[in-house]
Amino acid sequence: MTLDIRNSDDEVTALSAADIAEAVKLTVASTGFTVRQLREQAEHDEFPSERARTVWFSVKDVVDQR
Amino acid sequence: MTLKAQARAFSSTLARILNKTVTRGISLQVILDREQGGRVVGWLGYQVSRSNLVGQPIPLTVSPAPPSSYLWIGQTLMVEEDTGHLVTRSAQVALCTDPDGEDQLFRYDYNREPSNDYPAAHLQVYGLNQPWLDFCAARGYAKPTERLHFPVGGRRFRPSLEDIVEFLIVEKLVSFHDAWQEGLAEGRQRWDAVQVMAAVRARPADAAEQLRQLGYAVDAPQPS
Repeated sequence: MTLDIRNSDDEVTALSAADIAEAVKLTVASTGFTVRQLREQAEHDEFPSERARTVWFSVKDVVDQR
Repeated sequence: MTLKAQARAFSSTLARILNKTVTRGISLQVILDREQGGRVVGWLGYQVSRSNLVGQPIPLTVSPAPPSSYLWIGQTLMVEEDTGHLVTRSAQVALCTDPDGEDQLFRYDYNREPSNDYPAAHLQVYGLNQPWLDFCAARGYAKPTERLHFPVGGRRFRPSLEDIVEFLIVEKLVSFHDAWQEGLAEGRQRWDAVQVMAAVRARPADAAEQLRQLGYAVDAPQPS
């Protein structure tokens, strides 16, 4: 079988701070929870879904510095 | 090299490793903060977008056949102060049996600057282990194995993506390309070089001593 190693869709998108804030907001919203709820879930180490856990640990640095 | 070029090289390298071993024509995306206003300046993953910074699990299949498992790879990126290089701030690699990543079998996590006492690099395994549950119950607490953070080499010597892919292949958990070893060897050379250079920067005196023992002439820099 021929290896399919195309990376033609590799894409890097540079966003402004305002667009990053919006991206964080939409990503958090995709969990069905608010930032406050995710923070509380993290404090108790009890996330109701893997997406919620993954999202929190991916955005918490950005959320914390705002 | 610009931050954007570094990010592109980063994502292309990871995608190439995957496409030479356990995936078929996938690509990875990066969202970068062009103003670099914070510690985290980027998010890397499969189908990462403006509305989804953590992306989706990658289908593990090397043919048109539907996948039976998925690998959820996600990284946040930062700029290392002393080198200006784009580096991984946090990462997860999770093996899942569903396309949304909710049914996980195990997960490797890494956090360069953890905010808790758990190891910076650790493994969490989802499984039922009755002796373990009995052990916990006798001590009055319940902690399933997926809540344990098994240490895996610390910040510097944690497993690479190549190591995890190799594990999946040699344990026959996924289908793979015939030439998978070539793909891993290529990626490992890069990983090993980056980690050795970082280790030397962290422990220059030890590195110099080892080089002297190998016959190299190494002098300490003059104080400026």
